[in-house]
Amino acid sequence: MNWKTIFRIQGFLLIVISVAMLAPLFFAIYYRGSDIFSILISILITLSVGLFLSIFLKSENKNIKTGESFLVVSLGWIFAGIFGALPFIIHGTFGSVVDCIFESISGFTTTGASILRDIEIQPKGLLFWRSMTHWLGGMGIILLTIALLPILGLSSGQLYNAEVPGPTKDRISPKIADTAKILWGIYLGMTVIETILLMFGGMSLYEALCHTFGTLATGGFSTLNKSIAGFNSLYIEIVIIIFMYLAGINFSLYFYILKGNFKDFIKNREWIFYTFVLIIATILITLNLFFSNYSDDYLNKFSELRSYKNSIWSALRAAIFQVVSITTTTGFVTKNFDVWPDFSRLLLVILMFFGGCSGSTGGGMKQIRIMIVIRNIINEIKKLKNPKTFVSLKIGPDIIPDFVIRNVMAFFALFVLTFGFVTMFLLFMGYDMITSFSASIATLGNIGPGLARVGAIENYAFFDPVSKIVLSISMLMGRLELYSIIILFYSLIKRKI
Amino acid sequence: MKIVIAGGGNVGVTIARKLISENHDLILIDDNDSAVNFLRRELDAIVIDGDALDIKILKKAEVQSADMFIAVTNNDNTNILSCIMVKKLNPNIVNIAKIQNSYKYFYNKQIEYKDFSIDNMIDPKELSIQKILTLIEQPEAIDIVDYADNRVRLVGVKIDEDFKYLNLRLRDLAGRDEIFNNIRIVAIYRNDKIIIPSGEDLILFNDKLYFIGKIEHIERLIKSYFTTKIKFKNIIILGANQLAEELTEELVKRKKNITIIEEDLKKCKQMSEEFGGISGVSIINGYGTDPSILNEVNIEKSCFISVSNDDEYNVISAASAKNYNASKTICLIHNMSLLKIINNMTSIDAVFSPNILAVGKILSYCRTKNITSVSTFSEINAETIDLTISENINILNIPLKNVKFPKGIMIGVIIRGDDIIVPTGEDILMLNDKLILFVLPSAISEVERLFSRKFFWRFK
Repeated sequence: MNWKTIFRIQGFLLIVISVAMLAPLFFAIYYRGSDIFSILISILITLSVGLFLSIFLKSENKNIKTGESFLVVSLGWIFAGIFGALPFIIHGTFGSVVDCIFESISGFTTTGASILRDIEIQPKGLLFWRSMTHWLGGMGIILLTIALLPILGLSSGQLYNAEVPGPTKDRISPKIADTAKILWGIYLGMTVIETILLMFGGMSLYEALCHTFGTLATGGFSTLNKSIAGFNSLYIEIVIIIFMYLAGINFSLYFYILKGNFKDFIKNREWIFYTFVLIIATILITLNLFFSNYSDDYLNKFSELRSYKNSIWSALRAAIFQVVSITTTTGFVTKNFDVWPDFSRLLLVILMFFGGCSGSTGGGMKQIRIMIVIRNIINEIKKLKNPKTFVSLKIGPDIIPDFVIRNVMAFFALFVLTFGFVTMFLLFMGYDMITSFSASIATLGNIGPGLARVGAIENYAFFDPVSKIVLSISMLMGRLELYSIIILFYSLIKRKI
Repeated sequence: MKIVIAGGGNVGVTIARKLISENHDLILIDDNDSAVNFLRRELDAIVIDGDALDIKILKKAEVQSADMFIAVTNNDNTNILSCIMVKKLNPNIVNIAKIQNSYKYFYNKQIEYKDFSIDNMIDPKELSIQKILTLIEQPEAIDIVDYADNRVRLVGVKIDEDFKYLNLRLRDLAGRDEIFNNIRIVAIYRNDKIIIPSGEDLILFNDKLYFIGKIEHIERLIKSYFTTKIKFKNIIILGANQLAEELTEELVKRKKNITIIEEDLKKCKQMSEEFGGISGVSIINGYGTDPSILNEVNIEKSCFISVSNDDEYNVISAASAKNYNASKTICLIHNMSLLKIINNMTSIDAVFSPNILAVGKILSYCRTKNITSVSTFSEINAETIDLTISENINILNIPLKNVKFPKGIMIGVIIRGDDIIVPTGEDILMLNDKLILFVLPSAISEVERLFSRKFFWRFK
């Protein structure tokens, strides 16, 4: 193990994070909050640890092996989670240390699961940092480090592979550092556009930035207790739906469009499939909300259901926002979908497994993997019918090689296994069935809200510290697509034995 | 620069690594599945899985906007044809092709490589023969490179136990013999490591020293300290392939006694048809490791050159030849990764790889405009760079001792008009000086930074 170089890169990462903390410091000073001191101290600690690691750990051997690159990435995310929690820990109003780290990891992994019972009483600087962790984690903190500080002699290609989601990674420029710069540039551009559009809708710069971060990173932290419902504005909902949808698409496709290369954009079948899934799910849920029969008691208890029965438009508005928000794994909420009919609730949970496209900021299993799994099942059926048929798996014009299929099937199995494991753990700790399995997929898929006790208007504060740690790991595994974290644990255990 | 390489073999990958470390944009084409998967992980470049003769693949590799195309697949025909296709797609591109069997195409020069849209042709075999010939002519040298129209020479020598100034500090050498004032030791290769020496370093047994200086001075140095007591009586070539044939032709011109050992009867026959009438050439059918054969060919005080296509066979035969008192053994190796191990074997005096020679030659075409030539050493992982100061950079006209040079860069000589200066701390650099630098791989990017006016700071 080349620990020196591995930790040196963590040093670079911490420097980047400490610089990023200047933005919440600005808002803390602007709003004269009680959090100025805690953010300032956090910056100093993070910067000094970062400088210490990057200056003192110089190694002749700059090469990172494939296995080690997974360690760099997973350690990087753990470091980010811990140091990103410093402002919350020092300020103290977020709760215990475990709570703060849960919140920070939930931010970086763009999950958006919160332990805050009341968001609005928290100082604005801390809330801004909470949303900003989304933005940093969305496109990837390691990718940002590569873009800002090209570490010479390091085969950063492997780091890119370990952090960017999806089974196959296309590069839009020969050099990873350039690819990272282009992707972050597109991301930054979209951030500016959405922020301006949201400010037209009446948000302040602070609110607009926080919600833009939550949207483009498919995160889901809001500055209001009622999330997007708190604004009660159709315009804001539409802007957020459009940008959640865009954030769920592979960002390298935007690069092709910017270059005027529409052919490669059209050829990509993943975003077409993704759009198709969104439309079907929206139609199903709208009809379900519109036609469901509720008992009078239930309707009296949850009056909003009455509006869906009265107007299909109101049902459509609720359904489309929630479908896009859940499928892209953002987790913003306009309506309490936990009181919806069970068909809609379960469909939303199934959508959590789908997630965004590969190379997007969304979580979940990624649409392309679902496509490959479905096609592979069809091919297997064809082969069973006639064993001599030779069928290759084609998605659009591209033939998917065998090793990718194997990799995707293994990922699928591992994802379901991990989901099962986390669910069983929560059941063991004594939480009810629906809470457990929805909390499991809501963290593993980086969505945020689930059902029952972790439902749309609830939070994660009631979990015990051990469960919170397991859920944090589940979030990291979801963001880094399982293997990186498993390799980290594997090498830690192997060293001990 | 944007560079497209066809062929992800030894040569292609080595060039790609070097060029990536010098910040060029690389796109590599290879049609071997498992190699592509490996390279995708390994290289900071776009790796395309496909045939370099497929126009769709070439377009995907963006040759239309590339500055340079390097065809280094194992197939000559692929290399030639892809160069023609690429030139058609992009007339402004610079084509470089490796052609293994150039004698087939360009014999008699009726057809020239320019006819195939190739701007620079690399023939590893030709480079190998040049290398062997210089090694034969300078029996003690393990590496020889000439610069500046053959006025400056860089030579590498191995230190024997009877070297006169063993265990002496470098700074004391000048006091012993004034010739050391006119040459410079640019590197010491010791225990797998290259040392850029200071005056305090000692000369130890088994070191390899690299001297640079005026060719007359270097020749005098070799004559007074490193000359063998014996001239080669006989040159023995192991393996009868195309390279051996061309090498023999050259040696016949130089009136040497040549013995060729080959185990394949058919190949022996071919050779004898080629050189049958010429006195001084004898062909022997047998194994290079067979004691009876080695006895038969007068191996004592001969120069043994193994050039067969089998690396292991080359190494073992050269080692056993040394055992039978051959005075010099030269060994050709195709697999570049073996070089380092063989380099440490005392029974093999000089080892080189045609691939490394090809890499060095190709790289010399890829450098920025004021760097005119580059040579990569087969023995050690370092380069000499030959460059001209064409801009008014800020390190001019100050004594060298006040210039802070990055680690791993050493100025060998300064060529100013007709003068050749081995610089001391008091010397200065001037506009239009030509420099020969000795550079470690880690410092190559620094050279371009140091010697061009364009200011940019790269985070390291």
